[in-house]
Amino acid sequence: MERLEISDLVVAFDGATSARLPVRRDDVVRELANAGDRRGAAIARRLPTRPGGFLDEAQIDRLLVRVHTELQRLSEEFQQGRRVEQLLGPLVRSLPPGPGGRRAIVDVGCGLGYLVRWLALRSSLGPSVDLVGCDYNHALIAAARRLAADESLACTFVAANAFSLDRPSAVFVSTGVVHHFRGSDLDAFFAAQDAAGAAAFVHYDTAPTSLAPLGAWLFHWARMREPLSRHDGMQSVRRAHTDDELVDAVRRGAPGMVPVLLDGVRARHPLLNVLRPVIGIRPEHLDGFLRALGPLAPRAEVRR
Amino acid sequence: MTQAAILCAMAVLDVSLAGVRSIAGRDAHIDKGALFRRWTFRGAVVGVGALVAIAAMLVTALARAEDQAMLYDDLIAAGTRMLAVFVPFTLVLLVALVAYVVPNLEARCLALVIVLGPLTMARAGVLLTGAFAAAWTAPPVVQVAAFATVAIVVLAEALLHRWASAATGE
Repeated sequence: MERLEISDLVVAFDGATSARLPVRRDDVVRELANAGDRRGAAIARRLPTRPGGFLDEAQIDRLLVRVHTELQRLSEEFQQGRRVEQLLGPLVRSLPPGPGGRRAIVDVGCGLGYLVRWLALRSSLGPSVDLVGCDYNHALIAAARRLAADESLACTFVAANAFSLDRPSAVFVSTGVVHHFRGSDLDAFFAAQDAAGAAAFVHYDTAPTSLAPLGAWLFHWARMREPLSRHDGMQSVRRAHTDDELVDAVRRGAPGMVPVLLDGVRARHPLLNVLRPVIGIRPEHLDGFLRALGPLAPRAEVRR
Repeated sequence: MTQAAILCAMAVLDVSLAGVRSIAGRDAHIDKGALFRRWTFRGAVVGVGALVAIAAMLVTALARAEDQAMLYDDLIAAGTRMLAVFVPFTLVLLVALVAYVVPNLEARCLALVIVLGPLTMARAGVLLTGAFAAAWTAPPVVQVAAFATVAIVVLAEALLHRWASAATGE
């Protein structure tokens, strides 16, 4: 049975123009009910609407900002910034200088831009790195910009397709995004980065370990307040891709890049393996990257 | 009196941490040091307020008791049984908090996954167990006082959550 996240269903964008499209609440409820998700359908049934039965965009945006703020709490507690930084630091150092001596790190589906803002506050990647967050949702991007301005952080946020930014040799990153892409869409996700000329990508997502469902239930109930947050948090863990699914998708979608796993699902104890990345890197940069990883290198598994 | 002092200290610590929990997940800034300090302080203030309410309840009960010395002894015995439940919980929590501030990803992850996350879920049950332990074999007035005490601590956390919700415009 297909597992759905409500947050994927309550907003829709035109693929070409990225313009917001209206969404009928009944359609969301029906889709969840058809997927056998009675609890999700019950949550959707309570979402605010405007005349015509369409979801009220302004209220949905406020809800999504609250949901992402709750989600950020989990990222903070699980030290997601440090996890990504310990990988991005060696990666950026090992890559040759980008065009004009600058390198963009682009957070795909950045939401409130927690990772980008955290890295900007740390300033540990050096002054030649441009930190960019991308998301289709204008409300989340507006909130990310406001939060960055409040703390005078050197980073930018764009409501656009991350792969159309014209930033050659960028490093694309994400956290908790790849499980949203299913089937051929996952191949296309990696293909877009290959086609955009990325030097590398690092995509973190929940490790589908034996303890992940219990952990997700516990933390989403203990830490989150919005029913939508709890529902989607549980679903996202159930939708997490296995190591092989990710590696196979990289091979099919981005043949110009070498897939690397750090802390594969079976490589570490489930208690320690909460989030793990799939990495893609141009072959000419691989050896330098592995050398730069230092103590992390034994945990990296190259899957040519 | 030592039992009462330890229970008071644990109650203020508990409600101070509830202050942090009440604001956590409502503010998306990166540097939240000042925010968490402010809400720890607010939690402590609410915790002291809760203690004043509990003390007022116990003093009233003592003042109205026919045998004040016996009720006092019963309350001390109930507090001692409460401590038997709360002290191990608090010690485990403090050890996990120490592990969580160690600058090591694995140590922090383990502290969070094994202790801090589950203990948040277990807190209500631990409070209730403490109340039952205190009420065990105690006279009715002490039983009422035990459950009322726990109810006041629970209400203090609920108050903090409402306060944080209002403060962040939710």
